[in-house]
Amino acid sequence: MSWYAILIIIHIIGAILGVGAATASDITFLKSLKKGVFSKPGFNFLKKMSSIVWLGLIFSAFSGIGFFIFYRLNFLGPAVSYSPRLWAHLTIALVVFFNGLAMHWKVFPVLESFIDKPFSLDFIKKSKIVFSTGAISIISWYFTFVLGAWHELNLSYLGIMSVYFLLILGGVLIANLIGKRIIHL
Amino acid sequence: MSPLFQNFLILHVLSGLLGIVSFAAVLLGLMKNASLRKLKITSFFGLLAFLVSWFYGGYYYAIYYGDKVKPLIKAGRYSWAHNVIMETKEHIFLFLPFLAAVLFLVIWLAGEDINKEQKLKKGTTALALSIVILGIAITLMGLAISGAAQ
Repeated sequence: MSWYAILIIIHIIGAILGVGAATASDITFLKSLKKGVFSKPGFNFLKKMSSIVWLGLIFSAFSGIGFFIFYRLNFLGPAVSYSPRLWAHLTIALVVFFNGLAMHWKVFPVLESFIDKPFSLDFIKKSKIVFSTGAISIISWYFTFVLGAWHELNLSYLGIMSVYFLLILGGVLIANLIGKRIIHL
Repeated sequence: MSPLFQNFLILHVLSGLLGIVSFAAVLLGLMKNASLRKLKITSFFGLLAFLVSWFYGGYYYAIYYGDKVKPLIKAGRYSWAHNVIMETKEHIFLFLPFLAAVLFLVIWLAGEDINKEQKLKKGTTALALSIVILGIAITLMGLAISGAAQ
């Protein structure tokens, strides 16, 4: 098996873990919103999924950098290494990383403080960061996943990032609207 | 490129990345009030990784890059990859091992005070975040430089 094939396998494993765990986290969180209360088992599940997301990100990071090393050692040059799709992929991976840090810094403490308590006005005030980071996470993981697979995509870096930011903007707005609506119901 | 320099380049990149991941773990640990033992271990491995990366990168740069790679980049369309990015990288990378050493020493010497004193906690968290951001910037510079070689 070639090194390139090994890198692809590790990268796909990273994507599966990241996308899968982010999806499971969002579904669990939505279910808690509908129930009107956030349980301890639900919170523990989110923490476990968060660890899996980080693991996926680590696998993706090492294998992703591995691809760049492969391109360098084979002198594939700027035609491959400076591909707009590749650098957009990298940029969004960084967004996933920093968004993950923000979730651990701001979101998890908020959720932990509301365990087994009904969602109140106090939670609604703090919910913007919760809904926004959740939306950024899921949109970024799926967008970068599609970007990685869509080799034929022929857009500039700015073109790809413009589409991404529009999706993020829309996603954050919709997440906040739907989230607050569910709480009020 | 000889297998020696290929391996040195690979070790430089991977140990640098390991350093960044370690200090990201330190950062998360500080945010989540992780045990002192975890903070000590991850900061130690992070510092070690940066030192290893420095050694292999330095050897590769001094013995191989200057003669074999730099002329290729400077002769190509993306000469700025060396003229601007490598020139920047080879100076600011130096902050990394020293900032890492400072954070490592603070964690090992301050002990449990890190989780008790808020000002110290904020300072070490900010330092860990700075190391991670600088490490990522250095990595991106390295990718841009390597990408220009053909």
